Amino acid sequence: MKGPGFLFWGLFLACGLVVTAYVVWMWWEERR
Amino acid sequence: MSIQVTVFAAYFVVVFAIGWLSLRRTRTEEDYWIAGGRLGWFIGGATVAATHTSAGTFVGTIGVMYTAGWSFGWVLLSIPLAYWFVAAVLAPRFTRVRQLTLPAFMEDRYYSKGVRGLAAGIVLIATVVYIQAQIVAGGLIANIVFGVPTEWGMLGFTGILLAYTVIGGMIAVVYTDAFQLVVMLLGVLFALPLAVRQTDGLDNLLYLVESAHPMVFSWGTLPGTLLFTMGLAFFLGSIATPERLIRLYAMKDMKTIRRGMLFALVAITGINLIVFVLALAAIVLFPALPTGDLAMPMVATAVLPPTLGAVMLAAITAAMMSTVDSLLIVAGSALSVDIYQNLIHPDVTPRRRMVVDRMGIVVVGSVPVILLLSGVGEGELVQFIVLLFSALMASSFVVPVVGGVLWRRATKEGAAAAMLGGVSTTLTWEAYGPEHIDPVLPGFLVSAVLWTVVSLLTPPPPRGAVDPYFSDAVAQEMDP
Repeated sequence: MKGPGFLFWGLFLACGLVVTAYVVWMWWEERR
Repeated sequence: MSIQVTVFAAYFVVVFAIGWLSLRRTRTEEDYWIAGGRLGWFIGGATVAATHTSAGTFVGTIGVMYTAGWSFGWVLLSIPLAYWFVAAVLAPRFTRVRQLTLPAFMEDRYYSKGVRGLAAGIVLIATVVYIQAQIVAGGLIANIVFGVPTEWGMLGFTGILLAYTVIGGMIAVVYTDAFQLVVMLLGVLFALPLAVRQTDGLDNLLYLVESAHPMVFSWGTLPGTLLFTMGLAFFLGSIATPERLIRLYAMKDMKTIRRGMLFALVAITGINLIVFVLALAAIVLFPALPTGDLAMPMVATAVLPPTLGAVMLAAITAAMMSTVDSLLIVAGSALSVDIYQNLIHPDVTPRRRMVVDRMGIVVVGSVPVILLLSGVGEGELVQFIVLLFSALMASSFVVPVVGGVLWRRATKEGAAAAMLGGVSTTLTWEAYGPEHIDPVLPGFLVSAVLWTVVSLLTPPPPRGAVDPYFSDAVAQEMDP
């Protein structure tokens, strides 16, 4: 059985990355 | 059926109670239009997320999944990026002078009542179209839950919306939004595991979708250009719509805005991802629906146990109501503050102002329903109507608003040309342009070019008008 692969799971990964990046930016911005 | 009615009755009672309590906290026009500018990150972020999440998110997504497949989901990435842009670039400059409405910002930055009137006119007309799309969804839900004709449903929803929005203004709207976001989160969080179980697990669901509709998991369903311009439409549309910008004025300070935006983008992304998976389940469970718009209400009534199904339908209703109430505020303020009190009757007494404010909301709430009942503007795929609204707002406001706080030299003539050029290009492209390029792209480009060229050809703005938005720049220039 072949799964849908990156097209499907990649979206969840990408959303997680964007949110993590935002948190890092916010933390950096408030430390300034 | 009776459980559904009970859940909806309880939901409406809470919404009304919030509206009624808000009346006591609404003393000034600032309270009525921007909740006094005192919101914290939780309520501020919740109202942004609830306003963003429309009936289109729940009702329209499945239709798009049917035709466009999972690759459409990647468009979602543009939304958290847009809120990040707002928190990092736009908000710190835009909120330096706190206004009551977006057109008021346009007058302040572009030193012109005409620019304000034009902005208010565009907001009014576009918003009516958008409210219509949401009310159609409300009518469909009422038809499923209460078995009443769709027209009665549309009238009922509008009546409830008008009641609490007119009474409590923005304070009622933001607190009902927060409550409605909780209902939405509960709805999708309960629905997800149940729908996945119905299809014997996630792996099996993906397998079933792939074997029945191989195109759903293929990059080939949407041309790359369409995917990119749809993403751009969502990105631009999530930046400069008036109902979002006004929430920046409603939040306390920049720290609050940064945290509120984080909360909003996590909630929006999470809800959308879950709805995408529910859409896949609906494709498997209901392969032969007359229109994709019916799939999500079908999941609520046929897949979930009655109480949860009712919560899910209440969630879809909450999504619709929390978007429309915000648009009522925006359109009502455009009509009563920006057009009536600013251009037609500037010497209204403060007491009468509050009456005029409320009348504005009544008018902009009634017109879409009257138009719908007389058979004007009913659409099938709600999501695409929503997309045109974003395109119209983006092509008229992104350039003058974002550009206006980044470039001192931008003039009132440039702003007016940008708005008119953006709107007319978007509409023309939608009617006659090639379908594989979203109208926002040409609209945005024309708007940007006109704004730049016309600004350079006209006299520079007076210092006093632009200084408040560029005080850092002023400080740097004055530094030896």
